[in-house]
Amino acid sequence: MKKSRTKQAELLHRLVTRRDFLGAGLIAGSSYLVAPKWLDLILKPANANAADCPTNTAAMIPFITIDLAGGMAMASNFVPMNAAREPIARYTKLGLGDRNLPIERAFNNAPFAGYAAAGTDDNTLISKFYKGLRSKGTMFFNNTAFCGICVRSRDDNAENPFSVNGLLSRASYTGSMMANLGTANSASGGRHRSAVVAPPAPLRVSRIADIRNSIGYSAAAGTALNQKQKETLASLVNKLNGSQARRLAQIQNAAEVQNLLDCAGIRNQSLITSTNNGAIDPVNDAGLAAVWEINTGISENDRRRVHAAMVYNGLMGNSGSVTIELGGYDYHDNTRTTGDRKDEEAGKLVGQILESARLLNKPVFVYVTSDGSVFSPDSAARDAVWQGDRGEAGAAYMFYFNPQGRPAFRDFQLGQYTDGQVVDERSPVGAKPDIAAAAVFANWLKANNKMDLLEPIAGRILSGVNVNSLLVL
Amino acid sequence: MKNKNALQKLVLLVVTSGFLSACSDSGFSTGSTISSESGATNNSPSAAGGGSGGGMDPVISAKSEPLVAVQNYEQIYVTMLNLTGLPRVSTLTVNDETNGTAARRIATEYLSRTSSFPVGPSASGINPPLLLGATSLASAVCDGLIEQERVITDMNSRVFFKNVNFTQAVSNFAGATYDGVIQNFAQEFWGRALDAEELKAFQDARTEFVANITAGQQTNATQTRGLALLTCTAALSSFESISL
Repeated sequence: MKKSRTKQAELLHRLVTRRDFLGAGLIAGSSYLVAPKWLDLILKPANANAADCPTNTAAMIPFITIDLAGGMAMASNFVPMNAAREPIARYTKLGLGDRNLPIERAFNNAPFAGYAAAGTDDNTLISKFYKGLRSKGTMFFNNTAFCGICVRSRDDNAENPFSVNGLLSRASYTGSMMANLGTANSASGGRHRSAVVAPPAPLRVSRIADIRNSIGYSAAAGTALNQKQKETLASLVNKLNGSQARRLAQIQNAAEVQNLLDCAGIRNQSLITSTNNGAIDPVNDAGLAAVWEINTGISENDRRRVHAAMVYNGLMGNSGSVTIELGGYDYHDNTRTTGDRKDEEAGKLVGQILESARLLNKPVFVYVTSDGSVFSPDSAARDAVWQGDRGEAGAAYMFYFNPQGRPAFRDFQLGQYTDGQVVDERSPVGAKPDIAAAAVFANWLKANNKMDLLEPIAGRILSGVNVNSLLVL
Repeated sequence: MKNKNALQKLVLLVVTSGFLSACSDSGFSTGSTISSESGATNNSPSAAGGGSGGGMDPVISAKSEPLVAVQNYEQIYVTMLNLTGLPRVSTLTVNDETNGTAARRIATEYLSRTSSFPVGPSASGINPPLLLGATSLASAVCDGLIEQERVITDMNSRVFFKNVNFTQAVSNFAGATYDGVIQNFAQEFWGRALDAEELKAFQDARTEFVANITAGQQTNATQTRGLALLTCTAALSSFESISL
């Protein structure tokens, strides 16, 4: 017995693949996975061609998400109002002092924490996010609308269902070369969980080569085969995958897997066949390079170049949704300086995206989220320190830039705050990040004249919700 | 017997972390749980377990339905090397000149492709970059395999490219020799013979390959290597090679 156990242990130590286990006679149909119900949702693309693949709808407005990991003081940069759109009783726990704090109105009259001193020196802006936003110029301001969404969320937690990428994908929003891009190692590509439905697996981007490699062959396939041979290879792989997927007919998710393989194969054949996949790196565009502070001397792994390339590909329609996660927003270290620096960094990134859209003459939605928020001591100081987490005082931001002119938002805010300096959970979005996400999605659909897609895609979580109350557009 | 064979051909994920964690030198990540939210491309512990999205943790049950699953990034890499018998180079020493050239090229390609590959077993990780990446990595592996075998002068003793004369024109890599090689790929990579559809696909690929080279190239031995690379790459990167 001891001998056979030793032998089995050795055998198990060597086994690496299904074939090994099968060959060793160890998995004659033994272990299975339960299929979570979400699998049906994520494995069925929305719209149809012969293989039921998401079609590239070139006219869809690009969508970029910024996930700020850790709980940014979102409601201390944008200044949330009460239901009457008047200041709440005080902002003393939000690090902004009393209700008479200076307000700077921007975009469609949206309130940001304004200048602490007389004049317009941006260094005196209380909202460092707003300061960062302005750091790349204000020319895009006239064409941008803003909405602050008063929503609570769980502090320091990746489970908040803020991500709309799955919803976007189900609406057939995908790029001409790539589906969706993300910086984080997660299903959403960012910090947060998907609302309603997960997107196709994003391409994780940590360097420009990741984008470059995703649109063609490399290694020997890229160098030793000519164009026609590459096309033959892509076609052969497609055929083999199709045949092999059909052999799995008895397995629960086989049809969906076959569809994923077919769609991926179609996309890759198109990429391999095309000899003009277009530019993917904006470093040689002088205007964009200035916005992103990049040049060819900066490493392709540098975050500035990566973000610039991701945003560029999103704006140009090469990719679908883009999600960029920034870390370091759990900044309640009993100072204000750390938070101010990070807030400015986030604002600058949003400003870079909007300015890039202006230079490229492209519309864009920018959605900013964070997991939870922070609180200050109950203080009259407008620069009180951050002491701890306070997810009930959270918010999200939605920007919409249109080169044709500022979109007509009927309100700068969804939901409201109470005099207790927390989110009013009586609003449809107040306590539910997934409803907040659905609201952003609904507004994006409205901007794309695709409201007919809202019910089939997000209807099940909007049951009982007045959809019109979620629309600012 | 037919039912047993069919059952054996089901693609299974062995969620027995004890097996995988015991294989420490293979470098495999231990059996990753599928998060309730995602297509399990996230291996992080925080993503495991339930959430408000209404999903559930995976459990092992004899009454459960089987699922198709894919290998993660490291499994794809190690499996390709294991199936071809090529040496694995530590990614930490990938640039060390003492490692073989082919092995270094393969490791370098692997490192450049990890973001394209899934980190978990869920089939929702299937996307265009995964397939492109798998094909590119497979081409590096196959290139190394060709390098390794072409110097074996006793052509019949080779494991993969039996009777392929790499010094002769591609017209010699045809008929029974070609069919034998692709059947070999299927047996070595997939553990079974080609079916009729796959055989035809490979044969059509050869026809297309030859039709798209010039008359001069048809007498060129370089194209023999090109065809060998193409067929090996396709076989090694097809779904059955990268699935679990």
